[in-house]
Amino acid sequence: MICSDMSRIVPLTITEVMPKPESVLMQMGVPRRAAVSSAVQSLVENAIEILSQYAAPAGVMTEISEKQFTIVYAGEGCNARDTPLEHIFPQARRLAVYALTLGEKISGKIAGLCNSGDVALGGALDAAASVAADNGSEFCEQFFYNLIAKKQPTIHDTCVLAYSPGYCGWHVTGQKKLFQLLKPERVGIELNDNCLMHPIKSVSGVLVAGAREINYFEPHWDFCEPCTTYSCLQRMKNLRVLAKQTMTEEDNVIRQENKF
Amino acid sequence: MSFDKKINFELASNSVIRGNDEDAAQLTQEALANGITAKEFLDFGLIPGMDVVGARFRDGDMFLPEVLLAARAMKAGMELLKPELSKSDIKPAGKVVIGTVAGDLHDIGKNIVIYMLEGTGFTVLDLGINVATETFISAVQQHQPHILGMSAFLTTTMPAMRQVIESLQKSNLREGVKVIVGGAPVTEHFAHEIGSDAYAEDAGTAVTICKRLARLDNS
Repeated sequence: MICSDMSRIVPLTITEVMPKPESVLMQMGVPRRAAVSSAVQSLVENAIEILSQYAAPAGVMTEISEKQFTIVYAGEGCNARDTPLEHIFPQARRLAVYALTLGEKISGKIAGLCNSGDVALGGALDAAASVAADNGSEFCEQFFYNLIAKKQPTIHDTCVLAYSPGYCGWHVTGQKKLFQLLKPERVGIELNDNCLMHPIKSVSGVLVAGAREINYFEPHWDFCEPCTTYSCLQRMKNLRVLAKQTMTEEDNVIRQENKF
Repeated sequence: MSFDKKINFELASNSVIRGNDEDAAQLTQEALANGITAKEFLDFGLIPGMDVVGARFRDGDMFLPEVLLAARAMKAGMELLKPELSKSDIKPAGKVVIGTVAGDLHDIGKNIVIYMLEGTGFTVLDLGINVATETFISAVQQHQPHILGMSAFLTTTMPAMRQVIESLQKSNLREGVKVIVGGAPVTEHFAHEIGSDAYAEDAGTAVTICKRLARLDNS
C-alpha cells in the first residue's frame, strides 16, 4: 500500500491558465506568426472569453519519494520495455505527482456548441481549453519549483518538468496507482474503466525536479514512431534555451563582480 | 438592381471561402427568391467555394480555423436550402456512419469531420464517443452506409478499430462498406495493417477521401 500525507491543493485560478490567442491558433495548426483573417481572430477571442466564463481550474499535488514513485510508475505492468522516464526519475532531486482539471462545465459547453452545430466555435473552445490545461500544468511545475526554492534558495540548476501517463511509454493504466496515491477525486477528477480522466480537460502526471540535463534524451524509442506531437523535442529545446539564459545571467554576475 | 445569377454564385462561393455565414445566408435567400433551384445554387454557388477551401487547406494555404468558418458559412446556406432539397429527389453525396471507438472519449476531431462532410452534402450518422464494436456493427447493418468512419485519440484505444473491422468481416458486412480511420495516433501504416480502406490525417483529407470512396461505391 502506498500512501502520502504531503498533499496540497494547488492554488490554481483562471488567471494562471488563460491562453493567449496565438497559442490557441497554434493548437489549431496555425503556424506562429501566420496571417489570419479578422473572422478567425474574433472566433479565437470569443472562445477565450467563453473559456474564462466556464473554466473552473482546480489542482492537487503530493510530494513523493523515489521509492513511492517507482511503485506508481510500474502501474499495472503495461509500460513499454524501456522508457525515457525510467532513466530520468531516479536522477531527480524531488518528485511530486499532480492532477488538475478545468472542470465539468467547460467540457459541457464544448459538447453543447458542437451538438448545436457550431463546431467552429466548439473547435476553437476545445483548443483554448487544451492550451489552458497545458498552462495549468506549467503552473504546477512552477508551484513545485517555488516550494523547493523556499527551502533551498540555491537551486539555480534545478528545473521542474512534468511527465504524464499515456505518453513516452508510460502506459495510461499507470493512472490507477497515481490516482490511488493522489486522490484527485477531491478536486472533482475521476478515472473511468479505461483510465481516462473525467472531466476530459484534465491533466495528471509526475513533476520531476532535478538538473536540466536529466531530461535530455533522443526520441528513438519504438513508441516514438507513431507519435505525432514530438512535444518532447520542444520541451528539451525550451530547457536548453533556459540553460543558456541562466548561463548568460551567471556570466553577467561574474563580469559585474570582476569589475569591482 | 437586377439579379445576376453568375455574380450571385460567385459571391456565394466567396462568402464560403471567407467564412462569412451572414453573407452566405443572405445570398442563398436572394438566389431562392429569384427562382434559382436549391440544387443549382448548391452546385454552382456553395460547393465550388467549399472545393476551393478543401484544396487550399490541402496545399497548406488555409488553416483549420478558416476551414471551420467556411464550413459554418456553408452550413448557413445549406440550412436554407434544406426544405427545398428535401422536396426534390436529390441524392446526398453519400451516407457515412461515424464514431469514436470504445474506451475513447475524444470527439472534437470527429465532430470537425462530420461538420465538413455535412457541408459537402453527405448524410452523416454520428454514433458519438466510446462506441462499442457491436454498436458499429448494428449501425452498419441497419443504415447500410457507403462509409464507416472510426476515430481514436489514444494508442490504447486504436486496437478497437481492428476489432470492428474483424467483426464486419465475421458478420459478412465488410464487402458492403468502405472503412476510413483517423485520429492523432493513427497512421497510414496502421490503417493498412488492420485492413481499413483508407486513412485520413486531417478533416480536409477525410472529406476528399470520402468523396472518392462514395463515388467508387456509387459506380
